[in-house]
Amino acid sequence: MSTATPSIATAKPGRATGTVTAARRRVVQHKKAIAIFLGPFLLVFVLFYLAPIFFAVLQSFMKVQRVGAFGAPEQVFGGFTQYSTVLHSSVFWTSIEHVVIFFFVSVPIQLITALLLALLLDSPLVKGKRFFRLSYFAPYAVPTIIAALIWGYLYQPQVSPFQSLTSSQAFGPLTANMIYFSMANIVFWTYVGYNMVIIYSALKAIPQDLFEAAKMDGASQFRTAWSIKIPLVVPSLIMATMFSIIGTLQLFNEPTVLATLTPAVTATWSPNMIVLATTNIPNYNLAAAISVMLALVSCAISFLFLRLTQKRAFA
Amino acid sequence: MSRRHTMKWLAAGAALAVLPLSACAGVKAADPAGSGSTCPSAPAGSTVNLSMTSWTPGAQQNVDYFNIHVGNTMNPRIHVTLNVVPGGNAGTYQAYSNQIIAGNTADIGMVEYPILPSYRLQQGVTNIASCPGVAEARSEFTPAGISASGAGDPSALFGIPQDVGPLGLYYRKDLFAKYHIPVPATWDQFAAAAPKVKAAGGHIAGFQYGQPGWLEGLAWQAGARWFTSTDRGWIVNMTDAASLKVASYWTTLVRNGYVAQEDTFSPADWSDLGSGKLWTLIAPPWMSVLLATNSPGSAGDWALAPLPQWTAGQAKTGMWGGSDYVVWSTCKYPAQAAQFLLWLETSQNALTVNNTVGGQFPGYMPAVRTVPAMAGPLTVASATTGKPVKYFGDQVIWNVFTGMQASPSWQAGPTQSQTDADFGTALAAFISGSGTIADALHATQGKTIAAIQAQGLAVVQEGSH
Repeated sequence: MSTATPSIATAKPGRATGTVTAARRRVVQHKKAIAIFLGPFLLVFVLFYLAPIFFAVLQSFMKVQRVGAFGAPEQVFGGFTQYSTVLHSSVFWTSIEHVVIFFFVSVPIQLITALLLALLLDSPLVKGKRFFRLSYFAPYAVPTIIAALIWGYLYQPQVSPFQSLTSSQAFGPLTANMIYFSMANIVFWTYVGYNMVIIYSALKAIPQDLFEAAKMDGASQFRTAWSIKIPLVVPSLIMATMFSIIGTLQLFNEPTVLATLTPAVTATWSPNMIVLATTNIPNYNLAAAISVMLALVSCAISFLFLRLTQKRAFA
Repeated sequence: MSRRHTMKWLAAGAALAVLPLSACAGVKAADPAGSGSTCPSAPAGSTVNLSMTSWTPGAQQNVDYFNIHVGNTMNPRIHVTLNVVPGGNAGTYQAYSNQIIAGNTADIGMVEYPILPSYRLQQGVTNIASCPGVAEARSEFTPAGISASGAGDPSALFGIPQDVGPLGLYYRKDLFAKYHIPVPATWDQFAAAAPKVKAAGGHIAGFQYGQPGWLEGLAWQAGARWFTSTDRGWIVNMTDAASLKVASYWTTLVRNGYVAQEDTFSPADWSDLGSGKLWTLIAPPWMSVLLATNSPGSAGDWALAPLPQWTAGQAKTGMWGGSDYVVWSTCKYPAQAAQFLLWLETSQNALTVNNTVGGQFPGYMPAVRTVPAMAGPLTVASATTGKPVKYFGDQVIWNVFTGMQASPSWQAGPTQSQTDADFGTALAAFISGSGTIADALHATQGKTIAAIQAQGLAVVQEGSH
């Protein structure tokens, strides 16, 4: 494989131009160096990124045939059989509905809070910035599964230190009425600092002369934030939203932990939980089809979101 | 030129992607599990190295003892290497499935009974019924364990039973005595005691909906048989009269508020079991150690009674869990694997370790007489002091389990993990207030039939074969 690697590295520019001239070819220098630097990456990229995706798509178009009660499995081409199963699966679409609702419960408040925190940290009036920056970000260092376990303890009336808050039959944190908010709280706690850092670094990148100009025009801190800072960090906000969309569709750790604590979260609550349950059967073909469908849904939603916000983001 | 390069890479990618598929084909070509009646053995004078996967506490101790004192004296000599893994549902079952596809399973693996049919279906296990010594030992194991180890083939054995999981009734001795409520011996008495327990401020039981193995065990006790494998396919019958009787019984108890909503093994569940909110726990032997470790505060308050009966005077039960050691298809010398497993599951040494370290109730029936540890009360290390505690007082709980029989006619389904998961989901809906347990059974049956058909298997009607 390593002997074949140089050919792809040198072939690329040729493909890019289409009509290759001898003069143009001479531009590619240090072919060996390029090969040595790119080779390891490409090897790993193909082996552990492209090949699995390709394999998953291939698997999703197969189905298993058997004879009798314990017949040997025979994999045959199944066309869109698995996709038809996914499209007609109420469990799958319910799980998409769950994460979409969760997105609206969780993400707007999270990003608004992250923006406010970032603006506060960026304001010259606040003391102890380094301390606060670190404390807001610290929860992100806690693995989400641990965070979910700890919050799960706090939510359960039998073991929680907050008995009066958690023991309500209708509005306890683990009831069907409140479960979206309880789960959003865990995600909020983990990611608000992370999103704050993204926005904060965008604030730091704003050229100082803009603030000097604003100051000379007599703009207040609030006015500066509203008219200069926020518009200039919109691209970061959009990026953070994109991450949140993808992260929400792939939600797994938090509902998996909460599923062991309350009937309001089932073992097939989110799309990725269904993929796990399906591979456990084991039905790899269907699991592959669900994964591909989830990727397509993610693509569609992300694309739609970018189309709606493109002008603001990249104008 | 450049385009040809691209094609070459695509072709290379395709070849890579196809690799695992051809591995699949290799498995397919192997002798279908169950049909082979031979038992390959290593030549005399050689040494056989066996690899083994397990999550039983004390397994390493047993393997070490075997390698030094037993395996060396055998001919051919046997040496076992143990790989300790997380519990089956914590990832090991999925790893097994992947290993079967890749053809690199160990020689021996631990598998719980309900999951075994899935590995037979994946052509992953070997029939060791004809291996030397197995036929002789067969009748000494609990019939339900032997039946489960055949995974639908009454003459086959894909593994040697390790432990069995007959359901019993753990109950709060102190509370039943304090309020002068008789410990129920029948389900009628259980239902009659429920309101009295409620009046005393407790719940007679918890409805552990997340892992419904106990409820399946109760259907088993009542005479249900959810799955039957035939030559033409699978019969699925989760809504027979016995299952519906159990379903309606528990629906009534739950809707009357006598049974509390609990998720199995959650901190809240353990807390309620320790605090006296729950007065009974319907569970198998393996629960004894879990209960002692997770609710240490109630040491001495718990006792064990036989599972309540539908007809007074009977001694029927059903099983929840229990496990086999299976011999994987990749094992070159099943005769030696069987020889080792027979030692592991019948020798006094090994069974003593399994019982004292892991609280196991073995499938090997003579153990209650031959293993001294099982003649005494269960002792566990106290969570606070580390000193041994007799959790159930001086009661010898093993005798209670020995007194009950689980029918060998129950058969686990080919996609049992899916059945359990979907049943748990349906029961979660029930416990949240919608429908009945019978509805949950109907829903689960529908999903199970779809999952079985998705495996390329036929689902047939009863009596049509």
